[in-house]
Amino acid sequence: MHNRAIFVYQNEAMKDYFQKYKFMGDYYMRNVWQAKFSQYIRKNYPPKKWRYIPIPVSQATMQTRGFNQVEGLIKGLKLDHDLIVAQQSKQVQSQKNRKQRMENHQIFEYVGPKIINQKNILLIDDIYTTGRTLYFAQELVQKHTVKEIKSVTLAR
Amino acid sequence: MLATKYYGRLVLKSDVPKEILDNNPFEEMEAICIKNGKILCNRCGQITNKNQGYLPNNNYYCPKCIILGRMSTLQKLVYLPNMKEKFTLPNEVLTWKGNLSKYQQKCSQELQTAIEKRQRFLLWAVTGAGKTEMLFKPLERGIKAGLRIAIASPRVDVCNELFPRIDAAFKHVSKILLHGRTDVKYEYTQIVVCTTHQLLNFKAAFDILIIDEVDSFPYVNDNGLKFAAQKAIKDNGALIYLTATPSHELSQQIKRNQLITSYLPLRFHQNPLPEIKLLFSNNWWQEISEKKQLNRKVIKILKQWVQSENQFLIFVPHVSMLEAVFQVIQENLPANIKGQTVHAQDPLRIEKVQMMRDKEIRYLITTTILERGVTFPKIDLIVLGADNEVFSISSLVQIAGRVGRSLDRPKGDVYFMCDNYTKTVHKAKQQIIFLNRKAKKMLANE
Repeated sequence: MHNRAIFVYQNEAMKDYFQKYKFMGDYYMRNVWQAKFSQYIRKNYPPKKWRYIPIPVSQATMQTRGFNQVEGLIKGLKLDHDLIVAQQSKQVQSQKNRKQRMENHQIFEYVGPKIINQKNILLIDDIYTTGRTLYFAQELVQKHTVKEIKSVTLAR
Repeated sequence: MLATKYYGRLVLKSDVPKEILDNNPFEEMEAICIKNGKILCNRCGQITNKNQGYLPNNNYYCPKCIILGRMSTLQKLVYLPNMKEKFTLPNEVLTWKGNLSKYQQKCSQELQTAIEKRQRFLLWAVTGAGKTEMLFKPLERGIKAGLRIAIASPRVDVCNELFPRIDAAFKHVSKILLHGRTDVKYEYTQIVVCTTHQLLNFKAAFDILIIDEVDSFPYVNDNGLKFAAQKAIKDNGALIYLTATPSHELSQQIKRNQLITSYLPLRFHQNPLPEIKLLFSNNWWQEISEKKQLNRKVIKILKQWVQSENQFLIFVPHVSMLEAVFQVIQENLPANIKGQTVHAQDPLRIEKVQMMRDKEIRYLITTTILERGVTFPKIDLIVLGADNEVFSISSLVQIAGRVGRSLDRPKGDVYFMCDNYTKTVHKAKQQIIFLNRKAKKMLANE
């Protein structure tokens, strides 16, 4: 799948950022990249042509972290929550190694409209590591559209 | 399962196993309250505007103490009051065999009284007066009485230096060292040595709380840490401050008789503090950063030190200056004279300080992180840019106090190089002269 990332994740400053924002849960830190990331999406994938689907977080994460880190990075764009995390997957992606991630079964569930035929699909995530998360998302969404599917992440 | 681990701790409910939670009288409270439209944290006591700690779905968190794990309205805190848990008393409590001078003894005695009366007390003693040793007798009494004791400092390095000394002095008493840079699992012990940040995780836990280097960053201007200290002691506990350089706030309290103080202007070896010698430069930093040149006077001093075979410290105002200074110094010294740079975020910080202790290197170039709490027995030092605003009066006095700390070499060089003779530098210089005069008087009055 075609993915674009704005920043490199393998650098101390970016890792430090995600440590604070995502893992320690400092939601205020969303303001560091929110404007820039949203603007990038709006410019390269205009809302008239694209439907924005953020990668979801599980109920459990929502209970402890209290926010979806992807949605926190977006402001002023309409998001469609067509994907949710399937019930059975307990372990968080970032706690698995590459092999574990690759072995996984589908981790999402599609809850969007039966057919999406007006717009292209843009999947949005925070970090691109192995590409597995976005692959799962694409696999599901593909069944409901013939339009183009691309993805964008803040960092890779 | 034993619940002792939770005595006096303030922890997240979700971190306590259910079995322990069900079988012990835990008190439960919200981690965060919303009070007058603001966020109030029940762990650090600090208030934050809602927009800075906002979470979706009307939840809120505290950004002030997030470094120790986030407190939010999604969570509950629990606290288990200290039960009448008896510590096992070893046959020999105090394993330290040293002696105190009569001046130290007097301070130690006053400290003892303050602890017995459960007071707030300041032990103000010059750098190298032997503050830690003055604690031993009073702590021994406390330990024998079954009291729980914490010795906290704002500085990790101070904790790291303190712990082995406490360990040697009370070999058979249970103790633990807690700070953000160790992976030590928390256990219930009679003595806790920790950073002041760690106090946030305690509530009504200690009969005696000692705060060493109370005037240092970050404690000195952090209300959360002051709140944490108050919260960590029991209602009838004693709060003891130690410092060589009281902050303005503490000095005011002394003046207004709001704080009982014991004062010792004399070093343990009874020699005066090394006085500050000034050197003047003309934009020293530009000389180094642009011309790659080291001030001639400095070169001369360094060469003398190299010949004397003592170790030395070089202080600079900012981390970003370390590399450039290191380079020009290496160029001006013989190749066999090895040194290192060290700063707060340095991953090898502890190892490099240890190399200096082990005499594997001759010198360290550093920032204010080594201004206090660390002892190298025989050193000389120079501060480059002592007039820079990062150095406060107390930093400068503390830095000067690194020199002449051992009985073998109670003297040594302290040079401050500055472009301008500032008020701060002047006051630091005067303070040392003043303290020496006081000490002289004290000795003369015998």
